Amino acid sequence: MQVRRMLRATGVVVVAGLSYGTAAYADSVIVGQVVSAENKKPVADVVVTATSPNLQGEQVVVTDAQGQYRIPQLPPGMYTLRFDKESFKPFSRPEIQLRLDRTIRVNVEMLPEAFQTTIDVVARPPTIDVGSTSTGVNVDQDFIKRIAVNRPGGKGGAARSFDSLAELAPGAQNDAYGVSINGTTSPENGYVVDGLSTNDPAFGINASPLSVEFVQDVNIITGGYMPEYGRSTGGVLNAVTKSGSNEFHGTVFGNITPGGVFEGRRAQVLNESSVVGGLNSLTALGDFGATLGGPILKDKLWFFAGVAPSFSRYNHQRSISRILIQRDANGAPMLNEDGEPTVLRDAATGQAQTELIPGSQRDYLAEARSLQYMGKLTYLINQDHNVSVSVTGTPSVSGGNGALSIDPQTGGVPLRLVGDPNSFGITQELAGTTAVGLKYAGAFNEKKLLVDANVGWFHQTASTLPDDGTRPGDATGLAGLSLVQFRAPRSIAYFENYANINELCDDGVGGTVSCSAINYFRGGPGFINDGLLDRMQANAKGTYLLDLFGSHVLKTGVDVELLSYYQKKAFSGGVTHRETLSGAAWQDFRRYGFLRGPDDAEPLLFQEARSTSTTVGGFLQDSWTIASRFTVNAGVRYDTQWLYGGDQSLAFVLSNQISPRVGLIVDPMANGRMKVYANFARYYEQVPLNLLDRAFPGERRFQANRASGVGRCDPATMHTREGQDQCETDATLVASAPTSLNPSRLYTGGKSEKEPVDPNIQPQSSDEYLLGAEYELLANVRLGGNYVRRNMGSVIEDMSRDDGNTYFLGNPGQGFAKEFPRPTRNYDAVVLFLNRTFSDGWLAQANYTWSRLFGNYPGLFRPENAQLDPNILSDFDLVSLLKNREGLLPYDRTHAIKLFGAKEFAFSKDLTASIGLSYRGNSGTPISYIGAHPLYGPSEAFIIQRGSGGRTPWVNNIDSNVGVNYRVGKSNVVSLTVDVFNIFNFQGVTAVDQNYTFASVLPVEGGVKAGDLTPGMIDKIDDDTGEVAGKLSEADLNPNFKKPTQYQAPRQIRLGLRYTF
Amino acid sequence: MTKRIATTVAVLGAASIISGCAIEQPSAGCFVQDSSFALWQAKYIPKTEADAAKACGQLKGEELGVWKYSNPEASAADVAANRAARLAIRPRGLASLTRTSYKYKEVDPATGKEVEKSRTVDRVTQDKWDDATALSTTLPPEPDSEGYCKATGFAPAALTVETVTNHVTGATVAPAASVTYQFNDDVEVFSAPSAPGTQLRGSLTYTSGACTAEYEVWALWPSVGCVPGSTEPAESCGVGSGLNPDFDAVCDADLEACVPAKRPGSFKAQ
Repeated sequence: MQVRRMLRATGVVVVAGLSYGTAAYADSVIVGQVVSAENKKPVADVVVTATSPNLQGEQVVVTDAQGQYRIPQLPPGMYTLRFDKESFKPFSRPEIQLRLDRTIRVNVEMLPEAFQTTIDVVARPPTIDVGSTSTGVNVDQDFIKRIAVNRPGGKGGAARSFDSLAELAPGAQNDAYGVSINGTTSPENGYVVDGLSTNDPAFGINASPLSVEFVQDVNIITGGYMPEYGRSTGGVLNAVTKSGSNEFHGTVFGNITPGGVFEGRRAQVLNESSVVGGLNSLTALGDFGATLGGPILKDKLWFFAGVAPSFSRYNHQRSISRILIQRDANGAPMLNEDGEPTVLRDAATGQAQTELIPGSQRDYLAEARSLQYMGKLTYLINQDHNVSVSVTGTPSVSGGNGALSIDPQTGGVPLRLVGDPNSFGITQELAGTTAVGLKYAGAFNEKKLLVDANVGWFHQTASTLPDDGTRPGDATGLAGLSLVQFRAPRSIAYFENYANINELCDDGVGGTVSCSAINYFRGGPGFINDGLLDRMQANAKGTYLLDLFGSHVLKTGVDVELLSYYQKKAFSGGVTHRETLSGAAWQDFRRYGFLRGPDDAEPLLFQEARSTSTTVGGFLQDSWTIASRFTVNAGVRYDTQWLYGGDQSLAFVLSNQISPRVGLIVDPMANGRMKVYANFARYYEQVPLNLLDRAFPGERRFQANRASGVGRCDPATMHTREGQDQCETDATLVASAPTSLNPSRLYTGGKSEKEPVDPNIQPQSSDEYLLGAEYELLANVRLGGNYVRRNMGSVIEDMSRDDGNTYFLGNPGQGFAKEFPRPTRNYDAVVLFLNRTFSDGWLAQANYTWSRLFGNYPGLFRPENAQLDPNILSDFDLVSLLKNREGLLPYDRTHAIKLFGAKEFAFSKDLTASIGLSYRGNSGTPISYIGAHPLYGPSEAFIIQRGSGGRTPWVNNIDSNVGVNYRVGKSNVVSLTVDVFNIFNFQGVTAVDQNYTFASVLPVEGGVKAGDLTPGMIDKIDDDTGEVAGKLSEADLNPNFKKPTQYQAPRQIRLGLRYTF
Repeated sequence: MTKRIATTVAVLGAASIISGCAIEQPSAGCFVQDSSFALWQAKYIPKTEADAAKACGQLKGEELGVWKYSNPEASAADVAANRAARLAIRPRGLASLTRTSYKYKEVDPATGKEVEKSRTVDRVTQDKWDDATALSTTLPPEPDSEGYCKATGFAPAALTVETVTNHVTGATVAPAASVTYQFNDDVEVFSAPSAPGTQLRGSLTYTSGACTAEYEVWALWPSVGCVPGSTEPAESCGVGSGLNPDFDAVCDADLEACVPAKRPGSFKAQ
């Protein structure tokens, strides 16, 4: 609509209206009442006709005795409504913008033919959804084209994935695996494309980074949603792909973000704990492709097809630096009375001084490639029935042949390569999805009964494979070569040879201080896996319109999902060898296999399992509107999930997930221009299958110790095939003493039992309370605000009642886990917004969010160490670590401001330009004082109350978009866009090191404040005995504590060229 | 797959009845807790007064190594006969017989000074090391209706060792011994999600030389020390001791270790 108004104003055919196809996914509604302008009485039997370029044919309804009409099942788009009745002047209202999932009210006054008085009929279509309490934003191509969105880099950055748009919503922010909404974590969101879920069945994150080029409209629902949406405790990202139309239209596009000199200078993260350094810089990333849509049979059969390859290339520069020590005049190391060299430290930062070892720099390529495609057919059987079938695919490959992989789950590039330079870039990450969907929408009984049904198959691959073609379980090639971890104190000169390295590393103690190489990896790829995931979905929804004391929209539906997670996994060479800290022995540290009896070991080269789950649910809801003024939304959703382990037997059931949703909306003026609303909702989680793969049954693994030395497990040859063959014989096995009570003297482990489950386990849920108001100030300008509170119901986690000895799955604080604290995650937020949708050549959005996120439960991953193990995180595992855990959670940000604005200019009939600017400002996140645990390692013990150690600084970001459109033919337009992200190259600190110490410690009791904490107040734990062993000392503190570990992404420029016809 | 479809169909029917579907969780099977760094603690109770009066009837209890072994590749016939898994018990009283060490003094030829040294003596050959372990022939996959998993067919665990004397002084370091543990067919591990394989009960025929006594065995996991008479929960088998807080456990004054307060299942009244 706005586009056409622009046309009239400038005469220019603007790309936006043509470049995207139309959506067959039809779930939006126009309602309203027709009254006579003369006496304001309702007019019955008015024929209301809706037309739109996005609509096949037209939709016709007739007003009832109260003058009410309702046009359901409309695809989002720009509409024209015509009202016809004998004895009234025909009336047409164009330019009604209808967004995805929205109900808008268009009330009309009709003039009688005989009526002579001039009446000023207001022809301004409202944009407020008066039927819904849901919060969030709707992002369409008007916005995407004029504002710099889809920042390069990060998850799905090169492909410009639709899910990254979610960060535009108030209350949303980026997290490690996507976008966090209202204090939840990204795996808790529901990702829906054309009515079918694209959540990763194993981890819950979005598995399909579908390009925005294929997407017509994205509705980011942050809360207040009705029972038809379920199986999510976060937000819902509902995307609709493009469809064809009655005319042939298409685009050819390309976007590139160059690196090098085009990138802003990156602030360098300093870390003194390792002599191996890593520096990542962008080489280039981009995407290009084409789409085409049009009719096969006019008004009957439309098609849409697209292809969009994308790529990311980074340079990783690996380097070795030596730590400087005190030397005498001849350059010889000066040792103190303990025979130790003295490290030279920077007076200002306290960090060790370092110096690059010449010739040690080596550049690696880190790269990923993807080829996205989609195809869609939409068939209109008749005015009341249509079907569509679509196929989308997002295959990607990353790394191998010397190139490093980019993590497909996070978009992260490896930070440091601590190991043999030749042992990196030897695996490929394969991540891809294929989705096939069939959709039917039908209307019966004069559009009073509507039926929508979807059937879909979502297939996903997730593999890490050796690049030489060998596969998990193979005994040859890279799959047959074990990874080896060196842990005894050594100089890096032991592994790597550069000119003069022995002299440079000479510190009097064998280079173990100046050039210390601990946890150095060599050999094969280590853990490799081949994963196939499937999600079979079927859902059907019926809508019935009923007039009974007002108008009712009754909806009911059923929804079945069959999830499957197959994984074949192996440790290359069948085992990962780890040296003991003293160097006296080597452990078979990771090895699949089982023990039939004492010392009767059966090693396995691989393990494979298929875990599955079945979720069945349904809902019933009513939206009851009385006198166009009050709407009551009430409904309930029911789900049950059965989870089956790798042995095909039932692991556990999460039944009776009864989610009530109740909302009230008041439209005080009954004209669709204002609403005040309140809503309560309970949401339930669909448990991802990773938990089954890990614990039902548990992985069968055993360990052994082997003698180190020449002729046995020889450190000099352990990384080679020959060295490993020599090591892995029965002769090298070290037996434990016969006085040990373990019947096996050569092996430990080898068990394979399921994790016990609390028989009264409850499904995981979250409650939401919402209160808000919205008012249409001017045409297309909405002012609004809301308050939202979210808290947790039951939470599913694994726990240990005996401090890490036995584990079970249950609900902390409930059932027999009653002595565990109840998981809490309380999110309170106030949002204020002012939105102006694109019209008259400009748009503006502004919102401010105040929020507080407090509790002891972060969600489905642990932000402190990015552990993504939904429902089996380490948070509630150990009773000894539960103290001080409740506090401000890592994604607590008190203030968040988002401002977006764009304006279009016309220079001539054929030339237009647009400028978009956006500002995002966030206050910092809380800092915690964290220590290690003897079993679990670093980042586990909260020494003082979580989040009470101050905050990271405020982060500001300003982005711009400049676009120029030139018309070269009747409907052919060339556009050039330049997106500049972080124009001023702000290098704000986005994360700091929260490890107060890497030593194992106990939390300090008694509510000590950060400012009062001294190392002497903290009990240190001996890692071997697990007993308290004195107090922490200054020397145990992490010199990098509170120092930056991450800065804002630098300035990046994306250039885009597009031809639209 | 057919199971899943069948379930789906069954549930589509059931889902229409929204309220009050009581769905039972499946069993986790016979779980036995074992780990190298935490052992079991047994309390032995002589079965009769006559047993208690014997020289070999004086055992109060000891640490046990209790391990479950299972063969995931077992045949269906073995599974049906409860032979896919076995229980192994390695008592401290036997394992400690396998090796001993003593200290002695010797003149260092280099310095001419007398220094203290220690010597370790293997009392049995390596092929006898496994004789200190009692291994059952059966262990069921699922607990019985009470939650117990009964292991049967234990072979006797027995060692015979000679006297060890200090090679310098000639003093006896460890006397000769011939000890047999015969666990009877009533050894049961309690296995429930709330206490996954962490209590065991049964009986034992213990023979030392010519003396034989019968004991009741009550055991729990993990073995934790305690301070007799203490009221501090962490020191007296309560919360913080490392035991399951539901256990009804007491501090045994003889063993200075936590043991079941009553015949397992020894749980506090809820």
